[in-house]
Amino acid sequence: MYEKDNRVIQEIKAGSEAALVDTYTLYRDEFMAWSVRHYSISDELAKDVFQDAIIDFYQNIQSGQLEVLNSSIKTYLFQIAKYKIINILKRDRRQTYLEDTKLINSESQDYMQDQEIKYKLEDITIAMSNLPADCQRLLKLYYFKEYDMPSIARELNYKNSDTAKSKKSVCMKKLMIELNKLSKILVL
Amino acid sequence: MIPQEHISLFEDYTANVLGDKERLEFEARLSYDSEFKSFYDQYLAVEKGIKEHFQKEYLKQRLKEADESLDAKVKTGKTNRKGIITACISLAAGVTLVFGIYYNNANHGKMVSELWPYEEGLPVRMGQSNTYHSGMNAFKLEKWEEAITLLNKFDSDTAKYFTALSLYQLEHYEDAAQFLSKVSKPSIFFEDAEIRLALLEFLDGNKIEAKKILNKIRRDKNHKHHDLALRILKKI
Repeated sequence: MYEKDNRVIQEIKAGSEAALVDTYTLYRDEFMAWSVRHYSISDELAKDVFQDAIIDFYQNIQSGQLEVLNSSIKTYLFQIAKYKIINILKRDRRQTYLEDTKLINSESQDYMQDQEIKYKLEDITIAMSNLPADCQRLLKLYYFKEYDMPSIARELNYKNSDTAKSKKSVCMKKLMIELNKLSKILVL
Repeated sequence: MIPQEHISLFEDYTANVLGDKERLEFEARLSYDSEFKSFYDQYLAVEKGIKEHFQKEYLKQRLKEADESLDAKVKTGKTNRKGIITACISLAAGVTLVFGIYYNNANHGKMVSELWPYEEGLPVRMGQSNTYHSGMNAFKLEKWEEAITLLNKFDSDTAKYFTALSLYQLEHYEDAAQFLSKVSKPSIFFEDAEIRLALLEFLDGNKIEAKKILNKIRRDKNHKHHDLALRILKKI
């Protein structure tokens, strides 16, 4: 029934960034109109939320949690984005903050949280932003661009790959400390 | 918190730079030392989180670029319209004549589908299982035939509206239009029905009728779909 949408999912799974951007451009304006009308949020917030919904959609596909849709992509995205808006509005009103919903069981339209993830992406983002710029660059090269140590040393002008390796270790330790601070804040 | 001394060891293991003996010791410890295993799992979760963080940062940037391009199109359209409109009018007319008929026929469905407003359905409380709620649930689950069968048992504007939307999804456009035209003015769905009816008239080739409805909406600045009507009028 959703052959076309499931084809898009396969393209995204195969790494097509264009398919993801096309999906965004296809539904963005409609989502903005819908969310502004229903929740009276700004255009900028609507865009931001829809981008996050698209990214969740992408990550769910890449992780294998979303393989086949039993609804349309449009419905899937609007549902994710809708709950994101509700969470933002609740947070802004200083009400209980619900966990961001990432996964959809498309059969029941039920929202669940990935129990295996010990650290929320939001925490990693905050912790990462508290790291020195050189640590952020190094970790990006290693984990996102998948550079090896000699390449990192060249890119960041370190003496050699051993220096890059020990620098990376220091950065990871700093990141863990930042994450620990966050968990303490959450406990308090 | 993961002990600092473990971090370098975890890094070496995941980077596959431990010697054979150390690797075996590490793997053995994972199997008998549950605390060590728990720290290692946390470490892996952090690594996964770092990858997702950078991936998100990258995708967000790509989507912002798409935003700029989308917004620039709207702006360019507005800014240049006055200056270009006169110069292009004859060219546009010619192009429209030559390609318009073919293009519009082939793409009406796609265009209407893109402009068709999203409707998520009405809330249904858990445990409510009468026919109406089952119909609404079927609609939400996009089980269109089931939604039509169940909602058709009710003679209300809401049931007509959601029946019409389900018929549209099944590409029964004429039937959908008939149901939409029956939604009466006091209904909260009247304005939604109006704009959809305009789109269906357009899809059916009744451009004049579609424009008539759209112009009526355009004149009513408080109409829920005033801006959408303007967008559609521009497109058709």
